[in-house]
Amino acid sequence: MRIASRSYIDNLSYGLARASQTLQRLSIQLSSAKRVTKASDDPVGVGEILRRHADLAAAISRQRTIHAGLRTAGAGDAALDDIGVGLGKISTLIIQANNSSTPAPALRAIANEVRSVAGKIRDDANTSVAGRYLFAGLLDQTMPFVEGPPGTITYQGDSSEQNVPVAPGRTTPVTIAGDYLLNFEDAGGERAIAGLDKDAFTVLEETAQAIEDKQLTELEQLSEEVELLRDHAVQCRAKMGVYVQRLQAAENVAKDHEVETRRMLGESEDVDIAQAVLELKSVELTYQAALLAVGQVAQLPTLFEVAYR
Amino acid sequence: MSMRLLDIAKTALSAHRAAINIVGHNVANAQTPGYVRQRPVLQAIPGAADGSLEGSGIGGGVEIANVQQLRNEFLGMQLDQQTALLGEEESLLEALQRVEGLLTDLGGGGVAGALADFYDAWDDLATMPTSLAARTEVLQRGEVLCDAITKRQENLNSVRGKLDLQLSDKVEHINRLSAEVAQINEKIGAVASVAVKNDLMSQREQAVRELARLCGAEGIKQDRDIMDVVVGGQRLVQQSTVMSLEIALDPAHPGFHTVVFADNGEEIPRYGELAGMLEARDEYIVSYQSRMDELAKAIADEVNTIHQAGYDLDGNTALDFFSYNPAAPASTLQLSADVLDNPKAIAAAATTSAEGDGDNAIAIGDLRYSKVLMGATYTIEEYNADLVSDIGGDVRAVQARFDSRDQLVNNIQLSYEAVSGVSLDEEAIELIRYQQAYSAAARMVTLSLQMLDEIMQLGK
Repeated sequence: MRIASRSYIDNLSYGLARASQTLQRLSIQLSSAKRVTKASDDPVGVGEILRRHADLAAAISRQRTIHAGLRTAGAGDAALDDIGVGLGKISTLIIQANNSSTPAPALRAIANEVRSVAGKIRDDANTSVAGRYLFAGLLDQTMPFVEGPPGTITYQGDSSEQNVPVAPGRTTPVTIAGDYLLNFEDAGGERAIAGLDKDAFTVLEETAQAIEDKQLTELEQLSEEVELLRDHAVQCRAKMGVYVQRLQAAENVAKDHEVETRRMLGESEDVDIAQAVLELKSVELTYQAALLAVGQVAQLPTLFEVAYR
Repeated sequence: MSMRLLDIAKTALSAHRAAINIVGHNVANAQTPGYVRQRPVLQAIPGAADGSLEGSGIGGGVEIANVQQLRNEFLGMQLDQQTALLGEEESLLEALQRVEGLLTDLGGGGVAGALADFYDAWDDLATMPTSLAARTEVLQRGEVLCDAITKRQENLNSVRGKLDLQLSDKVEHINRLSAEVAQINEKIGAVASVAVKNDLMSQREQAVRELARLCGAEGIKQDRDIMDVVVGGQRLVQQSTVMSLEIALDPAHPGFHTVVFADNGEEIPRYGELAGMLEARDEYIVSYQSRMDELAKAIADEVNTIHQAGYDLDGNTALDFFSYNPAAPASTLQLSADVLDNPKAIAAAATTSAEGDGDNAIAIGDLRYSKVLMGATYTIEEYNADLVSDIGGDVRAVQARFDSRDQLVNNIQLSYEAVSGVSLDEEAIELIRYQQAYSAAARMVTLSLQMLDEIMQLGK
């Protein structure tokens, strides 16, 4: 085929343009470490990548909420432990007091200690984390246990539990309602502990009073009630333990999901460096060959130069 | 006898000098776009027919009978047709690449990033429903999401607007080229020189090819080397008359323009770059915008439905989170007046008078898993991913068509140039050929002068 002089240059310029486009694509891939930098690089892959990014964001967000739940549940668990310890201490004090030979001043001192421990239990039950009272149900901005009429404590919260999302469409409670924990009447007038028709603070105040008054028979009965409260506190802690386990399991699932999503995302999104470098080398050679060809063609003499030297 | 030889040598000198000039013209235009190489057609001057001694049947030298342009009409036509299709694909590709450039979702931004952050903010609020900071964050993320959606829609509108603006530039260019073709037709009709006509035809061919690229025009040869130009069967240039184009409001796409013939207002058939631009503006981008409307409507409606069922910190219910104009959801999506600048009005609670209740926030955060679009088969994020993927797919498909057409045009161009392009080596050979003939003719002049001189010496 006859080749026009203009075609030499046009052809070389066409080839150079193509090679430089490929060079640019590969250098962008290598510099960004991403196989796909714009939607048209791999349209199907882009859909997949965006879905995986959404999954990854969801997994990370889920871990954050679960972690917040674990912080709340952890603080609740510690408070419940303290409440259980306090009730145990009161049981010990009742045993000390339940002795006919104990002198009145000593009984007064024990009664005061019972009241002090009851105050500590109240403080534990009013624990708050990040401005939210743990045992106030959903009325978590209000201190749940406050002084009522002299010698009584009233409950200001409700009977709900605070929830955190742990999986799509699934939540787990991270608190225990204060009325349930300390045997206050709920909205329906029911109490958590069967057979105990008093709240914990009433039992503790009656205990202190019975010790002070050396009412040993009554103290026997109150000792059983304190034991009921103590058992219930242990049950509540166990319940909280179950919540924590659920949260930890959900956190593990979310973590695994994150790791797996990152792996899959890497496969779809990240450039295979070795392959890209090899491809770049190959395209570089093509490009250099094209440049060399341009150089050679530029130096080629025409017949004019030979014939009319 | 010597005088006769002198006359013959004179014709040879004259013809070969002209031939050398043609070669020079070719060499000078070796890189001129659209130039078609020319060749002199040499022809022997026949002897006198009367059989006189002067003539005696011997020829009278040489002359240039014609200056021929070397072109393959079929390849030229094919080049015009394929150039028109290439123009259409190129302008469509350029527009779609502009759209693709607006998508920042892959870098973690755009609508995808804003959606993820929006859901995250609701998740965070669920763990601290009374926190004003968490509530403010939800409002801010909501605003960012509205911005991302409206901005994308606005950008799509802006691409449509720019394409619309470009129409008038293209129309102006087409009118200028049409006028050039008409002017050349007029000159060709008036000029007698074949060589001049050839150059004018080369210029006209270049203009018609440019018109083919712009609007799919085709040249139709008429008598006396005149060429009419038609687009989709309608004349754009008839001899030396131009049917000007202008832009007019497009009744099918309010607020945008279309291209019509100035004299009768008829829409120009859509070919070439004009077709690609209008296809991008009226079909591709409109379809993306319609999907953005679907997305905006879905997110607003779904969030509002849950939000209305919840309670804010003051126990109010039936509050909207988003608002939009149903005629253009993606362009008008914004935070509703119920919650704007009022974080306490976010209905995070599912029950009344329970400020620590974050169940409604959980439900809104869980929307990220709800398949609410495309017949309950796509989540909102999946729908957005699908839109981005489809835009990429469109760019890739058009790019593939463009690449293959570009290759085809390049191949046809090579074949066309093989016939019409100038080869410097070939021209050098032609130059040697005519130069040698010229030298020989010059020798003939010297010889005939010597002969005359000898005859003159006889008489002394």
